[in-house]
Amino acid sequence: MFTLRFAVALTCIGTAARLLMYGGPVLSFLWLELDWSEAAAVKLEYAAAYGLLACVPFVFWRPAWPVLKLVAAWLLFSAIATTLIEPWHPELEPVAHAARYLAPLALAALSMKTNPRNRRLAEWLLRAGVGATFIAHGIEALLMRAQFIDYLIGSAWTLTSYDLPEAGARGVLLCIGLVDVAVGAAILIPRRWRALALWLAFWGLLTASVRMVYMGWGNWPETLIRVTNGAVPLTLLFLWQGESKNEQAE
Amino acid sequence: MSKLNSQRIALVAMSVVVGFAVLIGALVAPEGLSAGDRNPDGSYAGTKLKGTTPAQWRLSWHEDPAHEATISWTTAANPESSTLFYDTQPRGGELAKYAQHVSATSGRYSDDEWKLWYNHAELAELKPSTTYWFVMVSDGASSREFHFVTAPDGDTDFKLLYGGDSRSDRDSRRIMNRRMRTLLEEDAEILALAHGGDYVGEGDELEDWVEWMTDHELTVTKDGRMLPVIPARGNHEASGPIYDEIWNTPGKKDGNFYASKIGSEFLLITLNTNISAGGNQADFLETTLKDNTKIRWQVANYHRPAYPAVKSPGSALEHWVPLFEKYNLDIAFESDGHTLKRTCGIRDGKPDKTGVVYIGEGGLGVKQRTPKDDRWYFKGGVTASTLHVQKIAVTKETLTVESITDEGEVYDTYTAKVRKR
Repeated sequence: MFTLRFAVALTCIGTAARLLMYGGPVLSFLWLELDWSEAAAVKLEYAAAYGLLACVPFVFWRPAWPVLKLVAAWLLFSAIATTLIEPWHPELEPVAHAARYLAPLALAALSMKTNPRNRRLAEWLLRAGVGATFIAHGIEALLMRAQFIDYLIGSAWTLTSYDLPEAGARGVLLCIGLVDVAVGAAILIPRRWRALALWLAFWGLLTASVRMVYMGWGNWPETLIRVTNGAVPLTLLFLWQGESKNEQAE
Repeated sequence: MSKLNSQRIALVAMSVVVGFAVLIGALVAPEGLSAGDRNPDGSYAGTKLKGTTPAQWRLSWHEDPAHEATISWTTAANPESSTLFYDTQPRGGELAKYAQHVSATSGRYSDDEWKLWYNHAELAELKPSTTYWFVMVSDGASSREFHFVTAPDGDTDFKLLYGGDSRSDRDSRRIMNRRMRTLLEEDAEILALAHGGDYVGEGDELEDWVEWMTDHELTVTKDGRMLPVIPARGNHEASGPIYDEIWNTPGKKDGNFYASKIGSEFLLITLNTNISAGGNQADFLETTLKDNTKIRWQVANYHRPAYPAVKSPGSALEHWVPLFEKYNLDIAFESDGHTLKRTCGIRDGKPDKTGVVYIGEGGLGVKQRTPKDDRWYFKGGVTASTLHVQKIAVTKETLTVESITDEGEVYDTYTAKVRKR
């Protein structure tokens, strides 16, 4: 549970930092689409940013489910706002963000009374979150999202000084997309494949950190926002290991 | 009691009758122009789409504006033939008198709901620095006579306009289109508008483009001079096909990046921030900059900023900025932020007088944001929250950029001097 608490706390910090540094999709949606005044929309986002930061200590507190639901609500609202303003395949946005807003809900389920029903609910929220996120990112990769091509080219150059040609990056992205869709779908199958969870955790954390490798340390909020992509499958792994130990003890 | 009841009955009857009358009135009202379709003086804001009457005219420049241009228009019906008649003398619309004509290619815009057709007349082998007079004709329905001036091919002074983001506020878009028309009427040296992208809110919806193109007619001067557009793709145009159908595919399909040489000493590189910045486009940018080091002025135009005034930086920062600095680009024009900005000179992520200056952020018809003016690169620069268009004056000694507000005031002036590459 600590992994998940830590990840949700980092997501809160990353989201708040992005809101304060650059503004977020909610501002754009309220101001441009709903005709709010810019001042009112900025006030709302700043309020949300400070609210998210205030939530951080409570995330580590056991009966934190009301706070966790608020965090999940903001992250979901943010995903929906992105859908409403994002011109490139907006339908994928709420699916791609699923790990982000379902992680606090899973933590809320785990924070409530320990009983098998809550644990089962938490497990399926985590599975749904990571599955949806990987499938959506896989589809984006198959659609050759320009940002992803640039991440590959930029990271290859930064890490190995290799000038990866665009055609090569597209080939790699095609493979990544196929794998992401396959593993995202596999985690939704009601079997406990630990190797799969381990791969999802590794890949989720790696792709989150690519944001910093690509654009430098200053891009840390983008990495923190996505930390749940790796932390959620890691939590699943720990959850399964714990249960299997319990079963063995029994 | 009975009096009260009869009063209630009367009230209900009255409501029903009046309500019914209002409904009938709404149903039988003639299809007229909405208030939004009218100019403040009451005149219609654009040519009405009807049959094959040419409407929504626009003129685009791509790689070689001294010798080539595309003149495009929209028709409400599929024309059997569309032709552009043109000449270097005004002919008052008498088709037989025009020295040349060229057939236009036509096709239906990619939209399920709207049935409209584009017509593109590609002009080639034009004379530089020459006024061309032309009339668009589709199945016998003609436009009025317009004219435009081709780009020079020698070392001549001229001016351009730059602006982006005309997507979400139709009233302010019209205000800015009228502002550009006034600038064009006041200053004949202005040749074209380099657009930084985000013309419309939904680039895959023809309805948005119909409004944009109708409003674009407002940039035509009273005597019929048309303002050529050098287009860049914005994120709201996404990767949809309508952009290419509007502008006749500037650059290559699925690319839309290209270099326009205006005169012998000015290179405008138009890039596309919707596709990979680091792949083929970075190769194109490097080759273009390397092959043109002897050209006096080099500027770039693209949508998502490397040094934004509001949002986070785009991929341009990682892949293009090092090339801009390596080859000493003079100015990078950026849009997307909905604010006015000019940065200090930037090199290696630090203020540097020998560095590249980034100007723009988009103010051609969109609500303006409050810029984050505490960012380091605005020390010695300028930010403001105002609708604007940039006027670029190109001379042998200087490259001057004036940021002009919707009121016509010059808010900021930046002058670059010739430098070694």
